Amino acid sequence: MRMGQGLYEKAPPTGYKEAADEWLNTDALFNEVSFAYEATIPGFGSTIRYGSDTSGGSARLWLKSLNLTTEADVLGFLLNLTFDRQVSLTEYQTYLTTLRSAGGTFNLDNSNVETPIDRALATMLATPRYKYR
Amino acid sequence: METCSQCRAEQEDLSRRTFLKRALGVAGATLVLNFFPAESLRRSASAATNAGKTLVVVFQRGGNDGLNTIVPYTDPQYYVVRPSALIGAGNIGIPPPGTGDGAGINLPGTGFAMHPSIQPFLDLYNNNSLSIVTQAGFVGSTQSHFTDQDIIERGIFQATDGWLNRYLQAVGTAGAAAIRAAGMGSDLADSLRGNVVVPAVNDLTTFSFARLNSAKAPLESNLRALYGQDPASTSTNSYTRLVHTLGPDMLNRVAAIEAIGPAVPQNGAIYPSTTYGRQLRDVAHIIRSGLGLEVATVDIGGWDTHDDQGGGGGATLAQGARLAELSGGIRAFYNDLGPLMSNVVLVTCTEFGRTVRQNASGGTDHGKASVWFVLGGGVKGGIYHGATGFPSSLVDANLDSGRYIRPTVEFRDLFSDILVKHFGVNAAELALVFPGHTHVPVGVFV
Repeated sequence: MRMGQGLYEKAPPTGYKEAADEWLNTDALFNEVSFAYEATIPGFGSTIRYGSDTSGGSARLWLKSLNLTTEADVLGFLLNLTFDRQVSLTEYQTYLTTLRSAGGTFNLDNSNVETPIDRALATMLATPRYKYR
Repeated sequence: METCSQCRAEQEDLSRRTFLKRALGVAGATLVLNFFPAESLRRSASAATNAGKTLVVVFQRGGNDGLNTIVPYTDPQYYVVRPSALIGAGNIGIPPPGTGDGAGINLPGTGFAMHPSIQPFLDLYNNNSLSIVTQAGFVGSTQSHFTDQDIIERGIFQATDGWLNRYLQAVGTAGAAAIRAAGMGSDLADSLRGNVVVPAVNDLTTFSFARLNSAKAPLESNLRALYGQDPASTSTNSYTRLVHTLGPDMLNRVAAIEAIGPAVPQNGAIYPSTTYGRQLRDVAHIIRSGLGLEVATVDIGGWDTHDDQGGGGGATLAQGARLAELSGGIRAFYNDLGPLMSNVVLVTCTEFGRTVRQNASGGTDHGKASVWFVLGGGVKGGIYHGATGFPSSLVDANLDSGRYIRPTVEFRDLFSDILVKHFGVNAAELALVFPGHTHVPVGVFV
């Protein structure tokens, strides 16, 4: 994974610069978003995925083990975890739409919500708001 | 409205023409081996437009020793201050041409020789496709890596943006450009920083979200919605606007790079298997793919040879290895692009040269002027010492502060030559790139 400035690339005399915008560019953002995807989207990377020790990389089983049931429960829990529940209306609606993208009634017992949960998490971790955390 | 649609049609026409020209260029390249006559480079000399033109700026970070890159071997004093590397460990002098292992490569009629490690440049020089500037720099060098790199990359020390970014601001693009400028690497060269958002691109082979498969489209749609929000709604952080700008920028650049696939060097070009080599290869690929690339930067480090600088041949140490990488990469780039090089100029920069006299550690310390190279379309070729010439002897009295090669070719003039001759920049535009500077042409272009 390549986040921030390249390891070993800043040998003397160049050195690492300290200003914030030195660490912020298209490639840096690409790597941060890629990291979010590695942690959430199966097959994108080899990084250990979000979840608990026993969920086997399944965010759905992890959320179920926390006794959450409805999409409102799940979204509330995830937004509390990631943003202290401070999100814009656009963000809330984007996450809600993503969670509902499997169609039908949201049910953590149903494996068809696996992908929507992964994608909602991926979006949260890749969003501008998360970059400031 | 009518004007606008006409304008777009013109842009499309231009980019189609550019694309066709490039496609034909690629086809034509199969007809040449690894070389082609200098005349093909001259055809577009002094063009009055930036359409289809590219400038590649290679920065040798650390301060390359110009005196051992282009060697004044006919000056006996050179061997006084730098005894031949053949006669004793720690010496760095490049022996005269024809004297065996590690000897310089003669540049007939000039009194100078190339370091043997830049042999890949010899054909280009003989073909008048390579201009060598022996004493490039600027009066007022601080001899600090940081400050002098900043001065060269900003063009003006007081400026907060880079000279290449000011070019992008001052001159409009000739047609639609998916990637008008790119800084190769994981951070953006200071020369490219400024109001125009320029992407840093580290590696074309990994700069892709294709592995997301079915998740790609919905996740991209989500990110576009969230990065498209009013920046003030997500943070009070002072960089929030930049973060929100970079989101869609990143998605657009990734899409453009995904569309062209990985680089496939042409004409048998073999790049050094280093980060620098890979990045030059990627630049050639972006140029050939017709993404509208006008400006690119590539860095190569390792020039701060305070000790164990080495000589040539069997005495090669730090500098020779870097020179081989530098010239091998550029020669591969030149071969790879073939006839397309007529629309490309490449310039090498370094923040300063090094002390004329070798030090006690077999190296050299921070100096002033150094060797810069310019090659590509419209370049006149030859060796340039500036108005006051090269010192007839490297005795202390002829040196800057008795220790350094004096800068005689102002780097802003060299950059201005490129902007005027390659991109067809006019006086008003040039004044926006280098405000307060009066351009005295160096004359490296036809």
